[in-house]
Amino acid sequence: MESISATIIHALSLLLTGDAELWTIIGISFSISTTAILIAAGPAILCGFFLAYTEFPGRRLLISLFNTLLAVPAVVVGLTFYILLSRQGPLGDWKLLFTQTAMVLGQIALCFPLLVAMSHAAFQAVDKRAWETARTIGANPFQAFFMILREVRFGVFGALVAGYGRIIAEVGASMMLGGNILHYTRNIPTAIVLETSKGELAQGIALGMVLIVLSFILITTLHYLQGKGRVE
Amino acid sequence: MKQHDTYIHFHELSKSWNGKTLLEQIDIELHGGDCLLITGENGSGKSTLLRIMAGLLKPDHALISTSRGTDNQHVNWHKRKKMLRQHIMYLHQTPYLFAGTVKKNLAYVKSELDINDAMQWADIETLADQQTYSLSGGEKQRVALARAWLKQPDILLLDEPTANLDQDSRQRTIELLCSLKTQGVAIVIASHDPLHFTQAVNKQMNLNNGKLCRPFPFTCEAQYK
Repeated sequence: MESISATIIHALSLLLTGDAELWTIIGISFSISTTAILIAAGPAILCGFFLAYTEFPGRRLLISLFNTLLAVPAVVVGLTFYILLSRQGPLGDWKLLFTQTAMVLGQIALCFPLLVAMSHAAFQAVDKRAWETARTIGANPFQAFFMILREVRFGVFGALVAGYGRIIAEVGASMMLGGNILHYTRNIPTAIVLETSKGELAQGIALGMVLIVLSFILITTLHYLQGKGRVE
Repeated sequence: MKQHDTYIHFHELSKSWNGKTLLEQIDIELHGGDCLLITGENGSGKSTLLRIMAGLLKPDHALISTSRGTDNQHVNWHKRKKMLRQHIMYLHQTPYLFAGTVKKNLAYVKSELDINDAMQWADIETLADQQTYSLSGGEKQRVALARAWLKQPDILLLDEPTANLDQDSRQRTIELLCSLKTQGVAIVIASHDPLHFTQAVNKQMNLNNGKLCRPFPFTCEAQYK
């Protein structure tokens, strides 16, 4: 085994020389997670809005449910979808198991509760007069929603950033639903697990660096947006 | 400029909450250019009444007839709700202004009138590019009234519009209300302190135990001097 310093240098050279296999894995990771967050964002934000602005029986139960789902481990989400999508499962005919679509589904399920809970908190924090004011100056419900969304944009961006951070780094659901197939479903976290188990630390460290840089960018963006929101 | 012959009639308006009657068989008729003051103790239901009139809160029962449209019969609140929201404007005790500049807030109002004219009318031209969070209470009130000027509602409902304002801001608010009134906007002011509005008001009602005393014309000077 190489020394740690030599491994890190090797990892950096893999990144900087544009190692095809490494960058394919990074590309797959970003493609799947970006698709998942884009699909989940709209319905989740709407859901958060309705939970904050409407009254209906079971509303509090639904809020509790979404908050509970935040704590469900990724591997349990993966297991649930594995059972659903496996050949004997109720959705087995769709033949989605070990595909990128299955990984997207798993990641949507993972980030959806987080997006709902965080956007609900953001909408909840807005003064209730905002909705009434929007309606009373002539906005229809659709326009009023976007006026309120503009008020909470930093909170909602924060939710998207946190949701993206959660799914790009999760390993359990991706491993179970994607199957870690090279050039198809192998993403950053599953590749790190595989390469480390093989003793190939350089690629694992290189991919870990990508995740650390990404986390830094996401968290810095989140703090910046939250700070800007507080000022406004 | 609005037509002075617009009218709206709220009839048999009732609302209860948790078994307690808040409003009982309220009857209000307003014509363009009216300025009605509704007085009453805190918690007497003034705000509830205004919110129902604005189409923001569901009453137990209310019939409404209006000069708007072809149908001037008394029609259920639910069927008139959309019309109420389109033609009646409600201003909270502390107006809510959206994040952004004053100009941006005025741009939200769907109007054929010019934003710059609205700012000139409310004397807020110098505040055009100012962020709304930095405005004083009086300035916020004038921005809210500029929105009303832009929207030109049939009725403008104001909930304690001069509460927490200093003497100067209060006077400017009342002058703007008088200006709207002369433009044919019917104004309803809910306040527990009637003395502030003598300059603008031509009708007064008192809300007590959920019932509204019948309106009576009065001369403010004669009434309060």
